Amino acid sequence: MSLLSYTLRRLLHAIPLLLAVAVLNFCLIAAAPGDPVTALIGDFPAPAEYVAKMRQDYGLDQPLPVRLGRYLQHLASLDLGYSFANRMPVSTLVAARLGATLKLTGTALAVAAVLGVALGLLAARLGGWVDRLVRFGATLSYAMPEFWLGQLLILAFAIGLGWLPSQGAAPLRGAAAGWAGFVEGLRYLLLPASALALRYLALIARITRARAVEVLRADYVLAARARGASETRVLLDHVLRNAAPSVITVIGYNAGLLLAGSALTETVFGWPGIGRLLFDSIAARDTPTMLAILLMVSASVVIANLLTDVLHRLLDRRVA
Amino acid sequence: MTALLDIDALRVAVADGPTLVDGISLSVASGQTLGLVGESGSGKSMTAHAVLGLFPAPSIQVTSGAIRLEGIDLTRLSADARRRLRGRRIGMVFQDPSSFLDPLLTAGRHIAEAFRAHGVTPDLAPRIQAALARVDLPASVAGRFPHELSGGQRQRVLIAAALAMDPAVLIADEPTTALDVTVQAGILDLLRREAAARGLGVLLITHDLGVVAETCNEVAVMYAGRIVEQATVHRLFRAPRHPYTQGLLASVLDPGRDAAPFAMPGAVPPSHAMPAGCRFHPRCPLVVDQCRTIPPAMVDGVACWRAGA
Repeated sequence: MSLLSYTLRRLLHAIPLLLAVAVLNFCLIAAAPGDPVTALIGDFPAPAEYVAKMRQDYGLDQPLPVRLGRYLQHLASLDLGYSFANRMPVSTLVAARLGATLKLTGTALAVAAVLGVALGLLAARLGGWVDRLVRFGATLSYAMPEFWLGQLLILAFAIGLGWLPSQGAAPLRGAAAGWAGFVEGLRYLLLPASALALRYLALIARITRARAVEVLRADYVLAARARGASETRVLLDHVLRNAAPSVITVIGYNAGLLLAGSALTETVFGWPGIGRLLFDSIAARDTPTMLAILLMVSASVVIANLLTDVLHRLLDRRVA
Repeated sequence: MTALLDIDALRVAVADGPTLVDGISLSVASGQTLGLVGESGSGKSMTAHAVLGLFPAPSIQVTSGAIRLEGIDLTRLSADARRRLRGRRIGMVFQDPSSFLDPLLTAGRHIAEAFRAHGVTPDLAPRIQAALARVDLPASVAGRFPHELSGGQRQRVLIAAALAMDPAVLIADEPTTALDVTVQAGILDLLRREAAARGLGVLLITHDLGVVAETCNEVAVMYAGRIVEQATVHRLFRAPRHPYTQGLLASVLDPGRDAAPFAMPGAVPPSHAMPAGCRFHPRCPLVVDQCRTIPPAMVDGVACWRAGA
């Protein structure tokens, strides 16, 4: 089967999967206590008739299957609904926040992948205390939750040393133009990106090390050395290439880890992204926003897995 | 005849552990194919690893002796100087071509690696084609992945990569063991042709006496880390002198012989429990007291107290 038809088939499979995810999310949130109306009214002693009228206006008095049907109908026409809490369409809200999240997760992913692969290769190649240090550090890092690490980083570098800002993605007065603005942006990015990258980095370093140790013992590596290939070439041409499919699989299949971590990190660092929006929408019982973000996260995981499988096939032609 | 490869009283041992190769001497001349024969565990592959300078574990080392390649003692060279000789002056071919080719690289990339490792980077495409033609493979093989090739083709690709830089010596460690009998003949023919036409010295490591008879000029029989007999192929097959060699020859299935093949009793002793004296004495039908205490020296191509007895 060609790569193209494989990709198309996988995309078709993703449609029922995402539909199931949408239905499940909808039912879960419907089963949770509270609704947007109670959140909108808050502690104000509104008369019961007024509350009932609002529920009727928003269609919240309808039975669950009817509401679900309407939700899916809107989804089919790519309508994500209206955010009661923010008083604007969910799509507008999400679009405004997407950039910040992509910047944060993209940076964390790049840092985790590059450093993780480098550390893993180094540990496998050098062995001894370097290997033990990398493995210990990776286990420790993986065991550390993002929100806790984030707060430690804020305590150390923002409050203690005062080197870096702790909240937001840019100065409140607005970012400077040009190069200065870019550097300023990096200063804001550094702490949240580190907090988000660390667990992922640990995971990538461990799998890279494990695969590299295996490949270094392979017969074809001995054959490459027998042809006079240097250790650097062996590492780049054989070890990295043969470790890549496993490493990419781990990166791709754990994309959910990055997205879940992003919600926590954004909350701790006041980063104006989708994760922070999800946190706020849960607090505000903002169901449409919640549903939209959960669906986006599911779709991202599905796409990440698909990309992983396609890349895997490109790297290893034996995968039929 | 000048020796291209000259192994002199080579000893290989595990650090603080048993001796795996115990003082063997061999030499391979230009155009000559020397067979190194023995059962598994006899130390024949360790000898190849020693020549290449690549041991399977860092604890295994050459403890004494010399390995001279074109007059240069390899054991005195730095790690990088040895690397620069590997693939350029000594080539190596291994037993199982499917595991010795990188599954994610094309055949052409393997051959290119041999050139690149030694700084040959221009005109790689025609060079790869020439290397493939040399082992009777079509140029189209260059773009194929190992899983798209047959066992024989894979071994030819490995030979092409090993010969790409025109080495003086080729070490072939059981090059046909993993192949079908029909394919074996082609590979052996190729090695014979390279030796005859280009003066390549071949050290052929095998447990298969049939392969030796077909390919080699000279044979050394190895047992438990030592060479017990060395002779021309003709002489060894006609009149083996060491009881171990006699046992090996008698164990070969021969359709022209009425008797069933002889199964030698016992096995090669493990390297950590070598018997004293002649290492073959526990399995030897001709054993006398002297064999149990004093190791026999190599005299006239045979290391046996009872040779000629």
